[in-house]
Amino acid sequence: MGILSFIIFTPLAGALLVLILSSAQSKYFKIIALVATILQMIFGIMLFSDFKYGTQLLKTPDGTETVAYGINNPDTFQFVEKGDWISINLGNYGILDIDYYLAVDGLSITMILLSALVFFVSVIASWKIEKNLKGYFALFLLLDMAVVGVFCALDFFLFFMFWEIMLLPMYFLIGIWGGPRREYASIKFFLYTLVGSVFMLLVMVGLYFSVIDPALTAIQAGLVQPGADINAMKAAVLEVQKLLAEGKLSPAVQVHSFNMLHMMNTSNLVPGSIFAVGGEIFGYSARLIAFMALFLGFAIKVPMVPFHTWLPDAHVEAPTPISVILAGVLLKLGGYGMMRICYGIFPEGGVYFCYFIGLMGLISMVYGAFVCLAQTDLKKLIAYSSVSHMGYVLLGMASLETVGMNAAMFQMFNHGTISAMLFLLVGVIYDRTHDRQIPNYRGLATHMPQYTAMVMIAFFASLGLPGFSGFVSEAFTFVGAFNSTYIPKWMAMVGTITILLTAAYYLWTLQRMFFGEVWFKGGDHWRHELSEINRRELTALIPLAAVTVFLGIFPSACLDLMSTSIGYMTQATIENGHKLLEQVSQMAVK
Amino acid sequence: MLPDFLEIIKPLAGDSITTMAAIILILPLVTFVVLIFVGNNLPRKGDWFATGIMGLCALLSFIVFFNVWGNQEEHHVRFDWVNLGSGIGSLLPLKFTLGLMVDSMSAIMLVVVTFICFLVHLFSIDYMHGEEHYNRYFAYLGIFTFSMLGIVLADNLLLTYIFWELVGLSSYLLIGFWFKKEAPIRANKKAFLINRIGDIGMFIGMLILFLQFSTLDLSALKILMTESTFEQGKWIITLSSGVKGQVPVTHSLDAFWLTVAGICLFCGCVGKSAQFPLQVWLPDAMEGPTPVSSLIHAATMVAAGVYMVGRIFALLSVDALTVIAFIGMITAFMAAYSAMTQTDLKRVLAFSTISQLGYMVMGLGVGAYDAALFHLVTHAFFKCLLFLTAASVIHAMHHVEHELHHHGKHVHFDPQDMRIMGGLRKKMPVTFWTYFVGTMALAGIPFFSGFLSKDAIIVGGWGWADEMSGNGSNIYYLVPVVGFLTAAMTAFYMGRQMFMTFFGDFRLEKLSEDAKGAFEHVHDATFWMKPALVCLALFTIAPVFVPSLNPVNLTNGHSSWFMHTISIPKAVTPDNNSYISKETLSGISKEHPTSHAPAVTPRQLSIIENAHHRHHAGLVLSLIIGIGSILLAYVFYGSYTKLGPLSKEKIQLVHARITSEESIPYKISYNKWYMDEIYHVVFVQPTVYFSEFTSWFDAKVIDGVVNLVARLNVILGNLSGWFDRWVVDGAVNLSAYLSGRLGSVTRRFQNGDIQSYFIYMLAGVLLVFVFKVIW
Repeated sequence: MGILSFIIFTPLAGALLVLILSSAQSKYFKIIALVATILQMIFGIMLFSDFKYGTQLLKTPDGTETVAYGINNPDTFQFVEKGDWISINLGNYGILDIDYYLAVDGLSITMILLSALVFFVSVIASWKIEKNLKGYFALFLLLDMAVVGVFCALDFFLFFMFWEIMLLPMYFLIGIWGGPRREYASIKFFLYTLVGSVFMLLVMVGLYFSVIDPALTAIQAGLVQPGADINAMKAAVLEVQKLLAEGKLSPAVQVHSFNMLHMMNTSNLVPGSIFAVGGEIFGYSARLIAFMALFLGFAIKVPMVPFHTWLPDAHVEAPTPISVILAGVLLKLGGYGMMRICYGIFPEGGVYFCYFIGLMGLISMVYGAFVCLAQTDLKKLIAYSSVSHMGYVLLGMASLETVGMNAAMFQMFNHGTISAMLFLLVGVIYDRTHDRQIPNYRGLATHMPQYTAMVMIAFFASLGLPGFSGFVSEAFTFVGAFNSTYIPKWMAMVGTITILLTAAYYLWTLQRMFFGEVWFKGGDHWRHELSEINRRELTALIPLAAVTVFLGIFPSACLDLMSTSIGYMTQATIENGHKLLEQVSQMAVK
Repeated sequence: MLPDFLEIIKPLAGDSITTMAAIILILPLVTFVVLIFVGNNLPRKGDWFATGIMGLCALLSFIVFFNVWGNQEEHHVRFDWVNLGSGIGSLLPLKFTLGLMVDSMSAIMLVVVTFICFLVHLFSIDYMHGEEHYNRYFAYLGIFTFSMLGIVLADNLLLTYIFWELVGLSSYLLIGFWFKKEAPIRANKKAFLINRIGDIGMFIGMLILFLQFSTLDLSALKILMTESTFEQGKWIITLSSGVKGQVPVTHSLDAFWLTVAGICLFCGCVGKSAQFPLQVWLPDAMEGPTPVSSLIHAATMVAAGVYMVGRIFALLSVDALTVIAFIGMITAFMAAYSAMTQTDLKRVLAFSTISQLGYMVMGLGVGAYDAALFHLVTHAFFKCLLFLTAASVIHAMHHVEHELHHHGKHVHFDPQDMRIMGGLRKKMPVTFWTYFVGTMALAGIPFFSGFLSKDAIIVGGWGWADEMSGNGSNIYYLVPVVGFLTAAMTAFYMGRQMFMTFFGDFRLEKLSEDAKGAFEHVHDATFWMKPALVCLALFTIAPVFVPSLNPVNLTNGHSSWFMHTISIPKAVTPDNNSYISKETLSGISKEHPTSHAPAVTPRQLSIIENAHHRHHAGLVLSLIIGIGSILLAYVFYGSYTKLGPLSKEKIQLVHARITSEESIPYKISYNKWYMDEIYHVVFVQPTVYFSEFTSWFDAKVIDGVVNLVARLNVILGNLSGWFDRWVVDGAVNLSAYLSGRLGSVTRRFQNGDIQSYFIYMLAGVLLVFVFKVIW
């Protein structure tokens, strides 16, 4: 068991503990959840302090030292945990091999840290939950496990399993502890995400049949003995890949694999299989279709316009801590999945569809911001602002440019902290009055000055004011998009309208709700109920605000962790993407 | 020799000057943090703490200034902020550097900002005394000073942009300081949003420069711009990373992007310095406390746009500069025209600020860089002074209102309305005399600082028009002509304000019976207000800037110590040489060698020379216009003061004498060219409608489709349920039924009667036999 297993399964242990205890001891449940998330944070910090990045070198298994970039090179991943999980001999169909494969690189480290932070904050926000605590915290911790698991998994099957596990607690957390329309919202969320999962499942199965694990195949084919030294193994792998390309490898000795890193290496593709280079479905490139299918699956999660309408419903109905998790972490799974899986396994899709992705990102940004401007429900406004802000991620990714890609990843992190703050803040007044309508409040700045101060911090952070981390990622997104040779310049230029619209809806909200004379729709009753933000709520908010400000001033603290990996990934995507596209077009000519 | 890119943007260690600059920068931030968190617990809520720190900043700034002023060297500290490794397909590093740079220009700005800020702090102690959130006021001033100093010291456009937005924030906070009132919270939102429009332009400009040069460092940009070449309409720069054997990288863009970049960057100035067409936010910003208007919306922040354009002056192409000159001209004229009919004390000054900023921008556009920045400095002092005297008047009027209420007389009036003022000079001598000095400077009367700089700008514009019209078009002469016209309007509206406010009778007393005796309650500036007024007034007289008593020198900006040191930077855009006029080609006159000569391009030199020729004519014209317009104001508004018992109707009657309020020119002026109304109809409302449409579209169309798909699925489910129940299950049930029926038929045979079994058997055998036979 390595540290990653601890990070993933600490919450699960907590969940089991909650389930074992009787409901009579419900006061301990939140303590257990809190301890589990704090432990997870501690493991996260340990992970962070041992993580090698930038020029720090990593020892590879064969004794050399290398820069730890990860992405598609198994030797450069860190904290690797790999073990056989399922292995079934399917006779002529080869051998089914599923690994328990966890590892971290620059792409996942920040997401793991973000998850740990957001789940910790959400536990604090869950303090006031009263209904069925046992069920709530058990599901909550299960969700925690699944989310972190997704970020750590490098085996597609394992990834998919965590991905699906995540759906279940989320469904119940919204459906049981949510607002008035919770059933509609939870089913919508569930089904919508499931549609994405179906795409993913199909592509996964196709990939499984198309990819072999060269090392295991070599052993199976008798080219090398198990436990041979590293150089012999490498030679055998090359030999297997050569045999495979020449079509001399019998299907019976082919060990198929769900290992993502094998999927990223086109030498491991079985010629003639569906996702081999040149494979076709209905006359279209199967690999491009697979990219699109995966992309749409993840795009639902991001969410990308027009697949975003589950989000406002889910957010509005979900209880505050679940909204925080939803916006803070769950949306990032989409963007992470795109980078790790879509761009990683099908790089030519990233090159081929860059215009489309950039355009959809741009539409999400601008459209989301316009919709925000018309909202009267504060939570809905913030939900739509998530749509707008996650659009930056797509635009940055589409740029296929180092700055843009870094910005996309950084924007995900920043949106995680900032939107978590925003949802916590909405929760503060909703807890007190059970009303979120903007026109029902006026002059909160006079009535709740500290609360207003926190709201202003969160709003200005979200509208991309310099000094807050959101500015850096948004500015870099535009730099990347403008410098990109893949998407046209006007996309970045039009995109900048978003920063004006974002400022408009936040400042308008400030003007309507917080400034002016004190007036509440609920009159004196509300005036009484609306007590100043309390210490518990501040405890949840301040770490997030601190991270936001710190990264606004020292963005390197986060960017350095990822930039090596992302620079490498960008380069790999472009080079491999062009190469594959070229190969396909040459095949077409033949 | 290719420029070594790594060398150009390498980290720099800095020296004692930059360290001191960093301290000056950080100190106001410390004030902010301290006052926000513990301000309420400090003695007097920390006002003296803040003022003291500001004083210290001012002191340090003077030290920096005396060390740096006049030296050509730049004190520069720089470090890597973000390093993203190397870019795709090149070994050039993707680096964002940040740092501070101190040269003569930033040193004088340091002094101007910190010194004025200190005086405003001092003034505010009395002015804001007793306000709710008193500590917050000083905290906001702290974060404002921090961000403003950041703009001054930034060595990099990205850093400038960062502080640019932060001054926007502090402006937002300070305009909305009285956040319970409706007007301020509308005004601050408007200010922030309109500024953001400009900022977007500036940001796009930065994107273009970064695309081409891979850095935004100002000194690096200058070097790289010098190294750029223009061939066949392409703007080309070749960068080398300095690593041996490595292929240099060439970036190429269409040449017009350079002009686009210049104009886009200028957009930032258009927003922040309230230039046409984004000037509409500044008059509304007067809703903030008056010392704030004085510091931020007159002296410093609004000038940041001019300063920024000054910083990138060398990168601006001739076309971009022409656009800038005309925008400045339009702004100066429009605002001055609006100022002539305003009745609010502060609004007149607000419009005059816009107008003066227009002058500065025009100055930059015509290449009179030194004059424009000189005007920035002189304007900072006299405009701050004017606003503080206005604050003093408003303070007094508030006091009057308060006292009347105290005596049970409930008179409601707007303490900023000039129509109810008059004769205040008798009760407020210090305020009046300092105001007088400021007015003289703004109106462009000789021997006051404003004359020196404004004259230099207009004359510069004249010289520029001479040069530009070399291509046969006389349209460029519009700039100096409008410049003079605006000067005339400026002197007129300032004279009008002076006569309405300080001369004649105190008209409030005539407004109603209750207001009788109100004049007795008028008091002069209080103890802590006076030093600021006197100090600023001192910095408004010409001899402070021209160390001479010779009246010829005292009316010539070029003889000031400022313009001796701040010289026009050499334009490095290549098109500077393509506009050389006949005069320039025929040889530049050697008679008037100026200090600028060696460092500028022939085109720039030609403009300077032309301006020099126009100097005397310009001087005389300015003089006549300035004094003449004030006299004109006296003719119109001097009599305004001598009226007897004054009612609102009578006031209007007086106005009718000058110009009818119904007349279109009057309305256009009073309503600020109706720009607010136009923008509301053209931009704001459509945006709101469109947002409502998108929201509807989202809920009904997109979500409608989703729900429709869901409903179709339910229908499909019901259909298949029906099919399952009636067809599939029906078939099953049918077969069960049929076998049941069959069973009940065959059951009859099993009746337990042996005889009938025999008959069945026989029948069966018979049947088989018959079958066999027939077959």
